[in-house]
Amino acid sequence: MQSAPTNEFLTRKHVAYFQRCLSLLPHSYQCLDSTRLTLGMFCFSGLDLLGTLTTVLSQDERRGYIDWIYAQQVTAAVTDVPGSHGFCGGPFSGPMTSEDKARNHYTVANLAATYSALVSLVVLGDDLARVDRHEIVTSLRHLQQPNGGFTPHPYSIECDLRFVYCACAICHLLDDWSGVDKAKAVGFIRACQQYDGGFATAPGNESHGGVLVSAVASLKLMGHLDDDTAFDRSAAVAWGLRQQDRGFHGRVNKEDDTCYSYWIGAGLKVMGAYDLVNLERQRAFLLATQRHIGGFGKAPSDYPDTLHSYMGLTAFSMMGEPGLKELIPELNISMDAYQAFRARQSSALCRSSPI
Amino acid sequence: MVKLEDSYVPLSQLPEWSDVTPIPQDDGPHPVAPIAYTQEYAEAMDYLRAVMKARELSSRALELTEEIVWLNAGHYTAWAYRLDILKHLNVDLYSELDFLSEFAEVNPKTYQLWHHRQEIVKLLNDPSREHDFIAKLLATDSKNFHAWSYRQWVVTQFNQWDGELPYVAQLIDEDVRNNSAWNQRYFVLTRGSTQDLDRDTLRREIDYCLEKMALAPNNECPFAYCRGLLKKFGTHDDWLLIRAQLRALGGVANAGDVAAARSQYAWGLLLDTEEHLIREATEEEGLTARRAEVRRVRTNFRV
Repeated sequence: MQSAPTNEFLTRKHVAYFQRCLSLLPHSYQCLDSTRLTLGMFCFSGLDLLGTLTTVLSQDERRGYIDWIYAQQVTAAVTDVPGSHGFCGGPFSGPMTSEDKARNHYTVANLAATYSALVSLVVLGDDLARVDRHEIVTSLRHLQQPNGGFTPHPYSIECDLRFVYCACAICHLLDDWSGVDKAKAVGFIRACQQYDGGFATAPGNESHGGVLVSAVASLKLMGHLDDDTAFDRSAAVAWGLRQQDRGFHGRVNKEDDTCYSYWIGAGLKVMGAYDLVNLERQRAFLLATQRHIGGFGKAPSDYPDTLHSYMGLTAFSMMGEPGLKELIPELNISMDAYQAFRARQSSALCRSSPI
Repeated sequence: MVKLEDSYVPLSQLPEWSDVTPIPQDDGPHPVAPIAYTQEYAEAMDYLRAVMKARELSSRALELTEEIVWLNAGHYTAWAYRLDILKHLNVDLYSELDFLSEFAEVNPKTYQLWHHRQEIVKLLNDPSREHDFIAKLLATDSKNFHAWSYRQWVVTQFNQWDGELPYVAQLIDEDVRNNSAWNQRYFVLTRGSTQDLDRDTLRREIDYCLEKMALAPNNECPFAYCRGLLKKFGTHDDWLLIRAQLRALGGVANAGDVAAARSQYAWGLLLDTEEHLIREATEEEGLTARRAEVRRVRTNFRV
């Protein structure tokens, strides 16, 4: 899909793009049917960064979306499989919103979906009061593996850094770390740093830009970012910077791709090294992947998709684009939404505590 | 809903499914990011929900999961359900490998495919088909991240380290910029970071890097690989060797002229080398030596 790059960041087009994605996605997204909560998070957070979430979505719509998200919560009423509680990525596995939440062995939560649900709820103005914290924290304990890594759900052998990050962000948002063995998790992250300074999804694999932010954001959320024994920081920074050509590419000698401006850019930001990024070159690349119909593609010739559109937006936020909200890179939530969430929580706490 | 295939026969018209009451998707009044499913997928999912809920471990359910994963390769609960059915029915798991080989050609980057295959190979306890399977996919995409990760599991699980280094060397010969192959080289030599390198092997690897650096000075791989080896296993002499060789790569004796090679990677490694030698000197010789080194490096780099 070719469209001549513009020098402008197309704010209004992006708002319309995320609104469209939120209301209906084409069937090419069928392969992402089990990750609708994550697609939703991109839309909600996208509109939030653009400062339009509460203007383009009415309060009733936001409440409706919040209810849909809560309907994806997998509680003990649905299944008693250890490690299966939290949020499922959508209603694909079984009845969710109706009364018939009968036991279903194959309806299990997924850490990525639980993370996406919590972030979406925070952004939509919820206070997480209906989240079953205890069940989620107990599930985390089942999902952490002997090597410190996490699998996304109880039937999975997919143990990698992405899910360590989801676990850490979940614990942070729930203010409860009792489900995570931090020392083991830090050990896993350390084992994932490769000989070239980058992080691999799992020990031994090739360094991958997709998990740079997972690694360092997890360390930050666990309070180990300044722990010299946890990882080689300067090697990680150097690796991240070496992956910039115009934009960033995810692995050595691969093509630049919009999403790594978040995955690697946010990793560098967490490590306090974002000032070393060549912003001019990155901006030119991202303007080339920006589409006239709104959104961003993976590369300059690609159609836009929800993930790359959101990632492109976060990059512009981190570069300080006027009109975009500031992003907290380690949580991937706007500072504004996060502070409002904490304020709602403390006022709820005041109301409920006896004086 | 979009109807894609004219040949599509709805499950509801098939007698073998007549006893099942499909469960439609329950999306509520405010669906988040709904997808315009194809008619085929929407109906197959309605039946899948019904048999999954009943936990029916049957051959018709097995076929249904196959249809589902063709339509949505990332459907992780369908894959988990499929594995349970396979175990229960005691079917020939080699035919499952055949299905997965066919499936991988269309969906080589689906996480679930690779983990499902890993489960099947574990059950069979037979990796004899895996090297050909992986090699075929790497021949199509030599940087397929999933294929390499799976290969590491096979090599480690079944102790198949022999032959891995020549294979990796061949891939690097074919494309010296294939970082996946370079990573596998590190993985093989350190046995997945569990073993040290002996002196001869380390020197051989440094020579190997130098040869590849000269071949393509703007290729990050050999520089990153060499730095990694030196940081972990290098002695003082090894660092001195690489410094001398990097200067030679620039074609000159003065470090400052490495720029002539126009390689940011050579520059980067040389800087790290100098820094390492300074740090080493600080630890071994004390402050005076450090000052001398700093002076020398500054002069060389004309900082």
